[in-house]
Amino acid sequence: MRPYESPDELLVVAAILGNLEAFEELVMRYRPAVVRLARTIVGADYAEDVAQDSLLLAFKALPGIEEPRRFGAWLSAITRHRALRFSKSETTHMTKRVALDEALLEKIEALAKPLAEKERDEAMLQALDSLPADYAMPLRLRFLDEMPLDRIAAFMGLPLSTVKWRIHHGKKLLRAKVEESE
Amino acid sequence: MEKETEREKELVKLINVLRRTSRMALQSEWTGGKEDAAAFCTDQYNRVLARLKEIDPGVGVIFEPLPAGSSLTVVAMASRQLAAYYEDEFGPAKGFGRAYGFGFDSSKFKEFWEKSAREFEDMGEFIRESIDEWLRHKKEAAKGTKST
Repeated sequence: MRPYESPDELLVVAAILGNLEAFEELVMRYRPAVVRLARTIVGADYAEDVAQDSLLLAFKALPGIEEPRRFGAWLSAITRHRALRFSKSETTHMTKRVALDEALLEKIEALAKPLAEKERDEAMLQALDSLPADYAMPLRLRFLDEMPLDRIAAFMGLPLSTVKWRIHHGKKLLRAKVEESE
Repeated sequence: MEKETEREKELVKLINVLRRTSRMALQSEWTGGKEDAAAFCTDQYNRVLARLKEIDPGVGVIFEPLPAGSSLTVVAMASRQLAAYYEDEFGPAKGFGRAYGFGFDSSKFKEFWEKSAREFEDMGEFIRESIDEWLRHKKEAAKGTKST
């Protein structure tokens, strides 16, 4: 059972009002998904930079959020937009940072934390790479990042039932791929 | 087996009382509760603790009864901590009005946001616009302290 957690919308309101701990909690909840999404667009080498920029942008844009309850989907849209506009010659060091960015990076440790990659079964990872993105993304978030299903649904902007079905069906596809390669 | 189920049932009831006591104490404090409210909550906490000690002697090692005259905040904290002791066994409170002293109703939040979003947006923008200046002052102040 997941311990009680503040709902996203409460954290969003607190973060709008400048509470960095609330924003950090949101970062910890969604950072793995942000990095995974960025990876699908700009590749692994630049995903961390894009994720960091997206989260900094999100903090700045937070007061204008229309539905705090849909923070996950909103952050996903920001990440996609940022990743699509990311030029590969651009690096974090070259991006012009303002004092607010520096303050956030200094205060919020989770912003700079690289996505923990645990040792995984190589065959499984390769099989995951070969799956259609609609199945691979929720499987990665669920089993590599251990994200709760409702949060995956919030980030992907999908109903919970769809995420459950994709994970269920994705596992079948994954099993078939692994067996095929053996 | 039946005895075990009875014990669990009673524990759940006592934990519910603790959670409610914690909420009542906090709400009473926010709304200007008087000493009699604090005395009532303290008494209630001590009774629950006494019963818990009978059912589960281990709890007495960590938790002590509250002295008379404890404030509402102290009672709220103590009740929450005692309820938390059993959280791994029985899980957190479910549904509206959880263990943390306030409840969250997402439909009410929606209404609130529809009315207040604009004000929060203005305030949030103002805070973000002011951060640069605030940081500059903070740095200057830090420099001033070092140089003196």
